[in-house]
Amino acid sequence: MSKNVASWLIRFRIWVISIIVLITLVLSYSAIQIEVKTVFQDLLPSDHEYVKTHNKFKETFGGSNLVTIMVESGQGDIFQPHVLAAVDQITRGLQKVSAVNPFQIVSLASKKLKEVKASTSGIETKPLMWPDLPETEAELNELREKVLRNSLVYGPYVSGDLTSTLITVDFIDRLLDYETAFNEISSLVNAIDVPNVKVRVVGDPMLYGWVNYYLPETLNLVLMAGLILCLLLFVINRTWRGTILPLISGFVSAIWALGIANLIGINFDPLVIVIAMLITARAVSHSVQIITRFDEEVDKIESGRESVSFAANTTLSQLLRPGMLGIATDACCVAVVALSPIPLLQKLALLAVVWVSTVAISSIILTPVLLSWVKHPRGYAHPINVSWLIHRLLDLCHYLSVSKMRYVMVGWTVIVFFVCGYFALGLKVGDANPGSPILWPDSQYNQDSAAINGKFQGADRMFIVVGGDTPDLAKTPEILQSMQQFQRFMEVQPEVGGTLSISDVLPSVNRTLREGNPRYEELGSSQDINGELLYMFEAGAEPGDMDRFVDTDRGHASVTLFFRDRQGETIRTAVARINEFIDDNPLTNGEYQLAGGLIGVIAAVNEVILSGQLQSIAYALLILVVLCTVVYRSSMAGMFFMVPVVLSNTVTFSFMSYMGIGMNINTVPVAALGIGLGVDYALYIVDRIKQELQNGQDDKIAIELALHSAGKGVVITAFVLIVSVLLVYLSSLKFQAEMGLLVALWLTVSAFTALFVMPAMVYIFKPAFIYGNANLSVPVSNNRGVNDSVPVPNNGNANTSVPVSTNWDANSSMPVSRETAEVIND
Amino acid sequence: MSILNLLTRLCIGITPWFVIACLLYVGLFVKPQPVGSTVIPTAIESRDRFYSLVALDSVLWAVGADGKIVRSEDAGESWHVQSVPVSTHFQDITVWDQNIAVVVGNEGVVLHTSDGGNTWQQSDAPLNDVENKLLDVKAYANGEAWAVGAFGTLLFSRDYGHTWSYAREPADFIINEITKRDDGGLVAVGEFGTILISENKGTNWQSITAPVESSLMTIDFQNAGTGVAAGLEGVLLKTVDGGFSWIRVGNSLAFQKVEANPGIAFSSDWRDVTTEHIFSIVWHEELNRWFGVGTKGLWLEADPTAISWQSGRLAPKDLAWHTSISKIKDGVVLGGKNLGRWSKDHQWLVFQEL
Repeated sequence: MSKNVASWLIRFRIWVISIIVLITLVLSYSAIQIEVKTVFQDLLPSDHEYVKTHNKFKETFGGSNLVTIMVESGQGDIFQPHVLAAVDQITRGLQKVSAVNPFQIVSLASKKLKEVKASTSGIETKPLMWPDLPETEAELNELREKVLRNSLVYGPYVSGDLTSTLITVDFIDRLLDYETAFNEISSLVNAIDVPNVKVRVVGDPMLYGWVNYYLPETLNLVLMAGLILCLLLFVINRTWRGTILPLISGFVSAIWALGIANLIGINFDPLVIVIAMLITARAVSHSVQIITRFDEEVDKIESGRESVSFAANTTLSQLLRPGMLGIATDACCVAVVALSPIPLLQKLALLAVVWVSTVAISSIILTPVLLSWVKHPRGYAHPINVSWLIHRLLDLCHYLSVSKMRYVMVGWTVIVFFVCGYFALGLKVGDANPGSPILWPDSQYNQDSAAINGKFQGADRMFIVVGGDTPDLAKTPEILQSMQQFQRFMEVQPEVGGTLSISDVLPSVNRTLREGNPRYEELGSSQDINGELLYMFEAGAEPGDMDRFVDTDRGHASVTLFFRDRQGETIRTAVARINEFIDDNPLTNGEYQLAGGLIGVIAAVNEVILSGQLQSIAYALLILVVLCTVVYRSSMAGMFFMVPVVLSNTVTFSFMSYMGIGMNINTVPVAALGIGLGVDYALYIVDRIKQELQNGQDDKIAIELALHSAGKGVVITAFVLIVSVLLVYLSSLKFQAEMGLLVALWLTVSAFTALFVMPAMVYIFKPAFIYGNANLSVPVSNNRGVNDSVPVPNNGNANTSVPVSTNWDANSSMPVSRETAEVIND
Repeated sequence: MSILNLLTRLCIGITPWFVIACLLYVGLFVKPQPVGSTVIPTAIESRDRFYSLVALDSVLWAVGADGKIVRSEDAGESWHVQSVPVSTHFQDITVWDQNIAVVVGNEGVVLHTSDGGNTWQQSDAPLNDVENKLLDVKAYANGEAWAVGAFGTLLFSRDYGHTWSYAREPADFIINEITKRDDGGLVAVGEFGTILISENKGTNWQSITAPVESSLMTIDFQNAGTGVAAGLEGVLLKTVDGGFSWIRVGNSLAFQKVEANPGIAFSSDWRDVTTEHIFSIVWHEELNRWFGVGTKGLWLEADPTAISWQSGRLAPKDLAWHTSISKIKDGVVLGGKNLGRWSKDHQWLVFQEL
């Protein structure tokens, strides 16, 4: 069948190319319009209980896009006119930032922070520093006193040493655009040019803003990687076709994929650029396989009678099966990622499936069809010849595969698997270190984050909702007291810097009402008294003032937990403690609901990604095994091709664990999509061994031939791609750098397995699906002697046939053969 | 041979499915577990409010909000929490010795112990229908104890606080503190400048008109005649006749804000008395001084005449309020938003700095 398809494609090559060019042109118009941005909602598993709570209450109790700005005084405390003016300037400026929720700007200079005072006329609530800034020494001292005695301000908004103060601002999620917010806040902050005043900013909009900020740099790196790829291909392949065709195929598949993605409304997340590189790597690698095989076919044809279209035809028909099988397994393995509950992963899986599938057209079909036009198939574009180096390496592979060393190779693989498997168990779910793993530890953002978390209770928040749908339930003593106990319980965890709820506010109001007597700093004993205290606090309040604490019908109240870091373990411990408290202290009316805010949704993501990842691996393996079993009609084949996949996943996991890269919402796409990618190296080599055996070759020679043709393609692509992917390590985004490293590792492991381990396994186990139904123990007529020479394709070497057997171990090589009894006939 | 071969092939055939099944099982049913051992809360937490602290040699004993009782055997170096049968706010503790003590608090709760607080039992105390918040308790020789609180509550006990009876009908004002003069007379102070005196061990009570109408929070006597009462907004009263007549000391003029360096008094001028609330006043015989505390880290001191008072802030940024003073050899220990030692040479040390 392959032959028919191949010859048909070559016969109508003009049409084939025209159609591909036309589609590429149309899709490139669509591709350039694709939106490059991170959509926050996509990161959240929307069916998760925490995310539901978050979405239900984020408008009142605060979303996950809180930006925290710290104004720090370099000399003396913040109670100096120039420092307070800076706070005021930022606070006012924030109101003009797009998508800001104007009721959620909290700072000393806003109306939100106020003092509750008892006076002759009753209770009076007055903003601390709004609308006028203090100027005289006495006014400044008065403000300092007010701050010091207000536990809602001193601690949460002014640091213990009085040298810094916070401004927090929340956004309306659906209007928020990270890039705009980042630019507007940055320019607002940069406009503060006051000596001895330092301004630091953290928050997710800023974090993803930095990612966008480095987008041009990332694109430059990708471009550079492309250039290096080009250069290396040119040097190694020595032909223009070997340089340009892989690029064309990578380029065409990228355009098709991005174009289709844009048409079905998928945006491109800048954080997953590495994935794009990984898939393009597949396209290049398939293409190089085809070119290598083509060169080999051209070499086989007698000099002077070359028929490029015949060679192209043979190449296409011979590589259609392993190529398509490789692409099919890649696509299916990537497709299972769509089972993940995280929309980002679903979209990515869709994008990746489309992308991988386009490789079938751009590499497997386009490349050989273009090759059929080659004019001077035997010419070289430059005199530098490095093929002897590759040749040596492949000789080594061959030696290791068929000598006694093969047992060592397989043994080592098993040891590496178990050792890495052991280390992989140390993989952390969630962020593994304090600070954002997206940026380098010494980046501005991470330094700001460390400074803020050092001075304050913690910049990252989680809110827990307490209460029920009954109005005024949040005023009942049971709920309020339970919240107090809960806060006390949670604050024991060192990473929880503090907690805040309405039950912190009411006792102070009560105390104020009772002549400031601290013995009355307690909650009211009944719902009515608490209602009155709440009313007192609200008196003179503005819309939104109470939002931090209770919802409008007073049925639900929030407890906000401030976290000093967002490491996976911190969050997991906190969630476990929350559940412990809820189990030990059941409420008769109302309930606790987990968990909103940034930490709440991160908790949700962390809870689903590990199990999701393991399930994805399982399903991917299942699909791989089934596909291989069907194609080769042997369950042994499934077993065989599982090896590179399992090995590359294990090594990658252990590497992540070793490097302290946590499994989080940013790394999981790479880890998940990498699962299935990488089996195609092994497929090309093993399929070639099978073909040569079918052609009647001895198995040692079959392995040698396979390694020197398909293996050569593997060496070239692996080397070229690893070098170019490693370039990404220079990125200013730690995340990109690490993912580049991860992809390089992935390619290395799958290339290594394909070159060293798979042939050794073939030679040791002699599986029937490769060897056919031959009776292995009986030497048959077309048995070759040990000293026979066979032609070995050796592109670039004038002598196309070399003695192969020179370094064979004569004793170990049992002359073997098999009847060319069919296995799969085309 | 062929059986072995078959088995091997079978094993190899099964392996992929087995691996997949294992991965699926782990993926579906195994969740990452929280790591790290259980976090044990420290005895003194940032949320604590200790309304009372007593010292007996090296034993320190404090009670506070949310049913918390902590005790230190080593003068405040280390603390442990004692378990109690209730979780109401405790307002005061008093001791006869290191083992016998009584605690009073909200909702009329009275607890007693005779084993140093290893076990606490609820005492039998009468309750009124309005408000039963007990604010102060004092222990005297032979198991005698007096407790006062909201709604005019005045209780006494003769059996180390096990059973209690009313010494006076409840009335609609708060009594904040009671004390016994050297000659056995009882004096209590409270809301609206209330001063009550009993010269017959609590059988009859006489109401005295105070020179102020604001709440008096605290009272103590130096001897049978000389005593000081203090209250809101820096009110300080002095008596020399056992409490029957009072004069104001200091004055009500505001002075510049309390902003001293730790331990350095503003001035020794008598006018420099604070307008902050004063919550506790104690006479220290050994050091021959009056000590006082209140809101915003306030400290007060006066010589035996109780006329010239000094004041300041315990530490520059320590704005914690304190409601209790207990005497130790070279100073006092204070209970309140934090617990600490204030030495006679004006050094402030917070126990278990948070």
